[in-house]
Amino acid sequence: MMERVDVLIVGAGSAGLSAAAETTRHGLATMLVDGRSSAGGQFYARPHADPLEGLPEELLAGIDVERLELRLGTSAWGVFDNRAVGLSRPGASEVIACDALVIATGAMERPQPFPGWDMPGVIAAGGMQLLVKESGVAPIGRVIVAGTGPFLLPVAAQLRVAGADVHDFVEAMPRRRLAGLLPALLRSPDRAREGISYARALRGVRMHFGATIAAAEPGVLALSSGERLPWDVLCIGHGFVPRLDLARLAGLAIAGGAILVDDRLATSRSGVFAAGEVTGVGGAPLAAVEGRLAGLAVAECAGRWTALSEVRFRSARKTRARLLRFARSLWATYGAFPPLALATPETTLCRCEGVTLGDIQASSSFWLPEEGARAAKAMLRCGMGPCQGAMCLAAVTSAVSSRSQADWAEPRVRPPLGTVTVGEIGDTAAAL
Amino acid sequence: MTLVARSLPTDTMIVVDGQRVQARIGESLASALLTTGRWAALYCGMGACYTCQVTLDGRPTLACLERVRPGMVVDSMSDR
Repeated sequence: MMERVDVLIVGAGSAGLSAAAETTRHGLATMLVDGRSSAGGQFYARPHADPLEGLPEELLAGIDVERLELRLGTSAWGVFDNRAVGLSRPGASEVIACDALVIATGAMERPQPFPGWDMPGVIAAGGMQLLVKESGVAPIGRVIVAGTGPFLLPVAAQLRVAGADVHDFVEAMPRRRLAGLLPALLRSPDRAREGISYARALRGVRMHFGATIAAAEPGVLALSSGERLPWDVLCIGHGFVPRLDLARLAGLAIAGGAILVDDRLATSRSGVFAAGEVTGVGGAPLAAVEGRLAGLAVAECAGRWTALSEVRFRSARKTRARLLRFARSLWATYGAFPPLALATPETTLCRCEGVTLGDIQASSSFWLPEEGARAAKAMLRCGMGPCQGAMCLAAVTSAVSSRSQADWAEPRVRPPLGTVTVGEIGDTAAAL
Repeated sequence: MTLVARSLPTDTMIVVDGQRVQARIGESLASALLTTGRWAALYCGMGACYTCQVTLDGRPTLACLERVRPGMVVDSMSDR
């Protein structure tokens, strides 16, 4: 017999927690799962503590712990008919049925291949920030923070506070274009104050604007400007992209690299909702308000809607619109690079299988452009490694065709996602 | 190649590739491995790239998502 819950939420970050607050408040039995060992997601990562300890009040406000089953260290590996979801944790796996499924799997660092990005010591800015926030470590030696996007500022500031020698800060956007952010910042005084505090924290760091990474060589970072900067640890960030593996597995409609949702956060599949950065990257406060909206929409579907729900829904929708405007002004200023913008023929695209851009170009005469990334996968194993294409899909797709990724059919993703042992899956086969 | 240093003292031991190493309860396993100086296989640090996959107590595990517990036995897979 399959266990059943009213609501299953995958991802216990800002969006998932807020969704759980609304569904439990409306009396729905809710299971909230996350692969990490504490709730709060990347943004509220903190030293090891009780799962909910140290999270801000507003995020937890309204959570009815009697109706909440929080399962950490647990990841979703499959989505089957009737919203049955395969869950696993070390040594155990099971399939849970639910009336409503909320996907809140957040975002990941945008993979931006450049020569040397697979060298030891090159670490994604988000990953480095997690090391600092969760584990209390700091990088040793000469540190460079490089790439593009507003996220690099807090990372560089936090690394300095942690005692790291952040020597250089490299931002691809020209300095004069920062002025484009001023109108948005004037409307968001909190964000403006945040910006000023980063500027203070970075005093003394050499700032390089309008330069991109040409290559990371052992000990030297070459920039497009011709500058060559010594480094021991290189923190790289080029923005974030939604984590879509579970959405693809569930067969949800995806547009512009994000899960397609309506204004109630409902996806293309009945009873399946999505909230937070999987629907578009916009920061933790936006994710939280989307979680509330999704939780309220679930409550409405379950017939638990009250007059108060309506009030909360309207207020959350207004907040979402305001936060989306700020997010869009950031996107308009910073903009993403095309997937191969920094790659050379020698650059590794598929890190798992060690396939370079040159490897793909050299064999491209053996397939039709329409076969695209699938042919590259069959011939060169791109995307067949442990990450299942999470790191290389955009780059490989660009490499096999001049057409944009939007023109390609979404790749097929098959269960299991992530690492599940045969023994663990065997236990659940009977339930399916 | 030691990439990071702890600001807090260690309080436990784990076994990495057959050798006992100092670690701190609750830090990420990736953090503990990085401070040994013999492992640098971390990239995204958030469970997407699988660069940091190790074997923990016999099961494939992402070092970045795991927190240190006393007595963990890790095969860092760095010779493969």
